[in-house]
Amino acid sequence: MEPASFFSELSSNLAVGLATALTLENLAYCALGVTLGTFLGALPGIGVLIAMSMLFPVTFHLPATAAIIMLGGIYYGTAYGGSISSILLNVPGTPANAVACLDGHPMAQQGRAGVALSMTAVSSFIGASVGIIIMMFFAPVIAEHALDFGPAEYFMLILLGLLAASTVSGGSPLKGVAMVFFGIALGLVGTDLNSGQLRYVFGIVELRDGLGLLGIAMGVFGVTEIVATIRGARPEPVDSRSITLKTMMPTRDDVARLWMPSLRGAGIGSFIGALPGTGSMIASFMSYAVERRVSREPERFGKGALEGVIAPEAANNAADQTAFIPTLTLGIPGSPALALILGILLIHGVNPGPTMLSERPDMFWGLVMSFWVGNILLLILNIPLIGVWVRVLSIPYRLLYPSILFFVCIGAFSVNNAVFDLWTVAGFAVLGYCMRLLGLPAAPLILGYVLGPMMEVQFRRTLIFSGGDFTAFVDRPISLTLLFVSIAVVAAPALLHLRGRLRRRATT
Amino acid sequence: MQTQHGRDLVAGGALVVFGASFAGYAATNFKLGSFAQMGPGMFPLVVGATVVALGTALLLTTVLRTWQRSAASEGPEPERADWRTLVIVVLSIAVFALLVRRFGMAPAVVGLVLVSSFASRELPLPKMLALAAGLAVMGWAIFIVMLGLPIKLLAWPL
Amino acid sequence: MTFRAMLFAAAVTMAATLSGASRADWQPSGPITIIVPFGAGGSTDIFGRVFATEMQKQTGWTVLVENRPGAGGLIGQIAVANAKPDGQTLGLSSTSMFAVEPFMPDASGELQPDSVDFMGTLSVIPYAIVAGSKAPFDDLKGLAEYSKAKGPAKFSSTSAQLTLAMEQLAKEIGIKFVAAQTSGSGESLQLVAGRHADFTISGGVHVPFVLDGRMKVLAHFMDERGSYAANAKTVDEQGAVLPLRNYFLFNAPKGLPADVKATLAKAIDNAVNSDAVRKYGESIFVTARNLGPEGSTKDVMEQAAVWKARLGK
Repeated sequence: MEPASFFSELSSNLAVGLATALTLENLAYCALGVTLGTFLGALPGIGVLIAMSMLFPVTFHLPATAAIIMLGGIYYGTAYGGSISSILLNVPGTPANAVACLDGHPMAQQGRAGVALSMTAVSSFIGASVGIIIMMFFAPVIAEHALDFGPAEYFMLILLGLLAASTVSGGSPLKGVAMVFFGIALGLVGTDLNSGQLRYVFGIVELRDGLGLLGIAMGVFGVTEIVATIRGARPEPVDSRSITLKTMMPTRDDVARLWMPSLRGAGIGSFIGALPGTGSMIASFMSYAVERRVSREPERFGKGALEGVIAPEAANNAADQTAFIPTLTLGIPGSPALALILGILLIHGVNPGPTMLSERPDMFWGLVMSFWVGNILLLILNIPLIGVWVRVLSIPYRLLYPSILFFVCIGAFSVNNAVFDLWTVAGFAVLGYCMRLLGLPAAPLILGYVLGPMMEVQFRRTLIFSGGDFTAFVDRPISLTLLFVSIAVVAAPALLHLRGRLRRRATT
Repeated sequence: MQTQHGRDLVAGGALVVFGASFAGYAATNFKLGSFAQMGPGMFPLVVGATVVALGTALLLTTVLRTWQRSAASEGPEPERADWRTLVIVVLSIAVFALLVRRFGMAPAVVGLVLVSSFASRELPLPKMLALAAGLAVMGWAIFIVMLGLPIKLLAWPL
Repeated sequence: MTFRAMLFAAAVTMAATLSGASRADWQPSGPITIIVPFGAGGSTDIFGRVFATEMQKQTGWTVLVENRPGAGGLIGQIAVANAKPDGQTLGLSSTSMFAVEPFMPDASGELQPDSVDFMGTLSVIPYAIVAGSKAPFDDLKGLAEYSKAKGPAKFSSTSAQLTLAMEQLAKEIGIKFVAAQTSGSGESLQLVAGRHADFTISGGVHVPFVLDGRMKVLAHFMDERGSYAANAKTVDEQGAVLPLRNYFLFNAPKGLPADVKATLAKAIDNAVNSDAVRKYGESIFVTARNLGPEGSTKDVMEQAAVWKARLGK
């Protein structure tokens, strides 16, 4: 296509999209969606899926575009809100926000919660913007190439993600890797996808689908933090009068740290989000690992490094946007929440797929433009709200912790309406507290838990389709490239270390 | 076991025990299969064995480090264990779990607040009940009215 | 209607229901919960919610959908079987839960074909055997020849029951295949569209792919041809016996009082035959069809007998 005609077509598409997104009705539903999303995301445990499926009947009575705009708003709004409770309370609002705990909560303990929240809002906006731009220009291209990712490519990508995860924890890398594998082991509990064999279920019906991710995350992060804080070194409740605009304002140094990490996070997030089924969690972990790698002062991470909060949040917001690409252009939803959006499109007689772009440009571009509108609204909404959120810290802890426990419990219960998920929370609270005492990091466990089973499935699938031939892992360019990147990730620090040693030896 | 070195030994030991039982269970209970048709046991076996290896490595590095320098003087004092608080918090979750389906959300909240506030021993009873009531109202508004979750505020077991 | 108005309407309906509207028929004394034993956003969940909204509108009862996913639907279905038979708990899953699952090699035996009462059906599940449009075969016979010439075909299967069904079919037609399980139709279609797998059996998500020409139907895996690919033949028309006929299936705990059962069956029938449910069915290319309590029980029991004999349990 000629560049000139490409741009004239794009600008007419954008005009159509803006006209759709800016009608009063759609604007109102967008605002409603993102507001709900932020609040529900901030509540620990209440996932986006519950919020969306509960509002499902309402969407019958709306025009298709308004329905999708509203549910879309909830979907990416929760990613904004989820980091709030991570930063303030060390309780991840959604599992994808677990990474934000690592440096976000130390920042809050240092009295920099306002800065963390405002910078996160900005970096989330940057991440989402990059994701939307990529969606605008490259959606059809990306959709076709996402299909090139077969089992071998997914396996290599997961391997890379796990290697990245093991470097996430600040302490000894050995403990990090051990926790990744411990997490993989926990992830294998349940029904084996290929054979239907029950593994480590011990006759408990609820375990057949595995331990719940939310229960584990709530247990090892949220409840463990509560136990350690109640009588431990508890920070004095913040005097609400001391919260002024000034304490929320980032310093010049903070702002200087904002751009590159946000953009790197957005890039990683956009790439991973466009692959169905990977989810924003890998994106946030990977971008955290990358920030640690590229930082000149990696020792600041885990102790309140701003980059450690904003890069993962930029990544998961970008991933949430690009996840719409395979959903809308291929009809392949990457997650249950997107499957629900797909379902609503079908109810309204819209068939997602490549034809959607040509048949319903008003809807596709209206949705894309509404993402812009929604993210701007989120930014406008979140900056003043920071003052409110930070005041949560001024609530005396003796009143705060029973409330957090309540939200954790009701959130965990509501996912499957299962009491068993509450026992999971309790069990993993005990485990998480023991791990904390032993100095074993929790974040790598979470990622190992999520990625381990996927890794097994992709590994076995590759070998089933190749008839047991291991060259299937490396005989295609994408998987081979990913393997080289993984080797580089492992080898680079070792080589640097070795070079340093040799140099020191040479000088002595 | 009040030093980080002592705790590292515990951590390493726990990982070895866990990994060995995980791998052993897989090897004795699940089919291993071939590479073309991997059975459900192969991957858990490898994962368990890796956990054993990593646990052993943790043990060895800790022992070596203790050998090299006097252990006790190293590093900051690790966090002190507070088992009482852990038990109370876990119990409060258990109370919620036992009450929520049978009796509804309101009694479950009261139980949770009642039990968990023993952990800090700072909350007088009237305040505690006020907090429980407040949370119940908030939970009702958010989860039952707004989100329409199939949770009852109050229920009678029949 | 605005969101607030919706809330208001919901509150009014709830109040009306709780106050016990005085009609001659049996009335539920609280909300009716339809347990969908699969996750939110799945095809059963979405169709179930469309249905529930319609049933609520027609009857004035509060009808809630509750997702109880787990163990391929087993956990939610066991909950239905153990619920109080007061007419306020219904289940919505599929025929294979009762006709195939109980006889699977690893079955726990907790769910049997007679664990519940069947209340009717929503529609047939529009299964089809699909392949990428560039695949060098167009029907089951072609697939069989391809697998003999090029080695076993790669089957991306979405459930263990479907793998068993495919094995049955393969035996009759002479298809050699290796099966890798996926977590759902989306993943399976991704593998087929990216040409990592040769074919899959999908329950409706494939339709847009077929319509836009990226996939083709090798065989309709039901009794009739789906209108979206009317040229492709059904399994029966290709000279084999359809190994599994799957419906979206309503069920209730055993021991419902006769008047309750009759009222509910009538309410289900009215909602299934409503315009809203029909319209949604058309959008996923199925015809809403209620076999009723007797018809659906007969269908489940017949298929269960066949599978019991096949799997030798």
